[in-house]
Amino acid sequence: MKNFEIGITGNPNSGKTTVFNALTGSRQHVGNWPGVTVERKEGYFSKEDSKYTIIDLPGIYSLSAYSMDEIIARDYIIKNKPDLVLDVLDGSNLERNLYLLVQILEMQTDVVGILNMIDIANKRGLKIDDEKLSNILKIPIIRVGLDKNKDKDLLKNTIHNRINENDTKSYIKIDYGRTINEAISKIVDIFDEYSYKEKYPNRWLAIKLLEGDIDYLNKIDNFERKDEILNIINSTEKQIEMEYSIDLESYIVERRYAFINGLYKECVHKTSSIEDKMEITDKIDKIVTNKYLGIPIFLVVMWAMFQSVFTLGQPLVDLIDNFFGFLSGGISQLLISINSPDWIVSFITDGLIGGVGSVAVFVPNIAILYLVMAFLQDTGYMSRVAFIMDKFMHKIGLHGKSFIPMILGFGCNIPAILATRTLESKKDRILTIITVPFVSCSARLPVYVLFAGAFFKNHAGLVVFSLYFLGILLAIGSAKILKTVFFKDEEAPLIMELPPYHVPQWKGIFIHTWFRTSLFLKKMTGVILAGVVVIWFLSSMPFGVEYASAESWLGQISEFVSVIFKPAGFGFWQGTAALVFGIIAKELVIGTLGTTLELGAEGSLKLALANYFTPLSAYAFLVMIVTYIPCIATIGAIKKEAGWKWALFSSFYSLGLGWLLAVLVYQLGSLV
Amino acid sequence: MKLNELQINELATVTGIKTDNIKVRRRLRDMGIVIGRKIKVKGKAPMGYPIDVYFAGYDLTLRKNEAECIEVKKVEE
Repeated sequence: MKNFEIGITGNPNSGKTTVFNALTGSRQHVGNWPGVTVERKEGYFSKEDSKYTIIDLPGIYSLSAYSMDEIIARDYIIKNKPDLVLDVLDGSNLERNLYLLVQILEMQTDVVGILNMIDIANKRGLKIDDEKLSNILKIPIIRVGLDKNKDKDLLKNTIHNRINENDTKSYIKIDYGRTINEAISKIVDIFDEYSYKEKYPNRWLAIKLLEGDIDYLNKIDNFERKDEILNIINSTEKQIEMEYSIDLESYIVERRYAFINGLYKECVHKTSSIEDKMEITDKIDKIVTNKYLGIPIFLVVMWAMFQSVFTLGQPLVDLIDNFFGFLSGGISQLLISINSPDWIVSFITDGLIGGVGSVAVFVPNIAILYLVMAFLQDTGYMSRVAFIMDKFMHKIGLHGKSFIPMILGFGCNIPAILATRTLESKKDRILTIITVPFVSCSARLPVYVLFAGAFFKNHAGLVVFSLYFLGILLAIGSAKILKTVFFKDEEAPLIMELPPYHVPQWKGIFIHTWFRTSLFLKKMTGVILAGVVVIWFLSSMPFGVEYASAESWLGQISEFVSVIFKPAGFGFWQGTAALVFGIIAKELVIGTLGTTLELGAEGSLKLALANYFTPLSAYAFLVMIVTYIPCIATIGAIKKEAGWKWALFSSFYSLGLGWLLAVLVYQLGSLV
Repeated sequence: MKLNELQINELATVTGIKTDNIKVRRRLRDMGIVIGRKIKVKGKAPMGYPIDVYFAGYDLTLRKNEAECIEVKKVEE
């Protein structure tokens, strides 16, 4: 068996995923690119005596080093040296798609061009002469998308034949104009003379250096004739600026586009002039992004999404919850009947089953979320979300697309954090991830309601509202502050394509949902289980104490730590223990208070609360609940999406902020 | 004039990109906003910005400060 590796790339929305699915079917594996949270899909197919591994590269427009996706694709092509790269080309948008293709060819990598969306091109009156395109670029160009069954064989045969061809491949050379052509050959000569060999072709390296690519300028740092090369670049820069009054990097891009423009004119013919005919996409956009209708429609879509994720998923959530309750009840009976020690019963039921259960209950919501997100992405509406909301969200330091995670946060912070995947820039993603936990999730509501009912009978609604509002203010304020602290000079632009609306590809959406959900389970179970087990351990030790009682380690630690909450008015150990359990899940705050506080003769938690809290300290406690550490599952989600560093930051930042606010509320309130 | 000064559906030609932000400049050019490109503003977001510009067969969104970098000349019809 011979093994070959193939990278697949293309512009976003070019139908890259469809081609990937056609080639690999269900033989896929999803993971992340090392060190970053950009999704990496891998699949394979076999033909005759060869096995082809297909690596799905990020959808990109260019190979400049300005976005994470572009760097990943570029590094992959350079370092892994795939046997072949497939570039999916959107035929209705060929000029911009050719830009990427030409850049890949300049890396002297073998490419097969896959022409897609020809039906849309035809509708626009564009006729593509793929034979000519193939002849000029010296690579195979095939058409897909018209007959799904034939596509598979065509793709596989073309790949197989191309790789087993024995001809030496030749690559296009773009004419960059006399000045730059000369500079390129001078630099290449210097490299050749010293037989300077990097992993990449010298001509390509020379072009990158002229383009001022920092990555590659750093790489030649130790080359002995570096200064000579820098001199060539400098003088070329001056000459281009003098002749064309444009910077060198821009000039190179202009020349590349000039080449592509020529290519496009040769190979694409306009059969009819229907430029001004309104396409379906334009008609939909006239309504969907309309000045008056745009925002109401958007809010309806958000409402529908929220309802499907949380309401539609609820029966399943209850089912899973009941199942784990049943399981834990049954197993504990079984264990007791065979005379197992109490701590084993408690470890298996409270610790293990409880821990796994607390991940499993999220699955229905997460699966529906992924389904809805894939649907919005696939139809093209996601880009409109960013378009409609950007001005508002940008004002508060975030991105148009951050709105979706914020809304989802009101239901549950975990899907909200997973939804930040749609944000392209790391800055926007991190800022959104850190601010989402301040949005009050539904698990916090019962705590608000209990305290508001117990202490502020006549103003309960107002109190609950004020807590939600505080959360939103904290999210906005934190976004602003963190942006200036961590991402001062990183303004991510909104230079974003509004793709035409598409009928969704259900098969692809389901495959995507399945892989994402199973990945979620795999990644989260460990973190959550670890957290749950640690807290179980602290509550059960030393041997023989009542679970989570004052004598348990948890009780003792709480007693010790509760001192710091004295200035916030709730410096008793039960309050601290409730906060600790709230880290497992916010709804546990009530349960913990219920079991640890001395309930009076009536056995009512509401009445008992009054013996421990004053209205003021109750409000300070609620402020703490709004702000402090997100639950373990949310920390797990943050770790999954942004790494340990940010997960820890989020925990300590919110804990510190919560404490500060609670103390402020109590101290200022005491003055009044 | 600047791209954001165009009326909706007015056709113009790109004459240059003026910004010190290398990232934005490069990104705009990578996306195909090069000198001589025919371009028009197709629509605006409900809050006025970003704008939806159309060229080379596709739609692109730009915030106000990004649109201001793009110098254009109206095409007389």
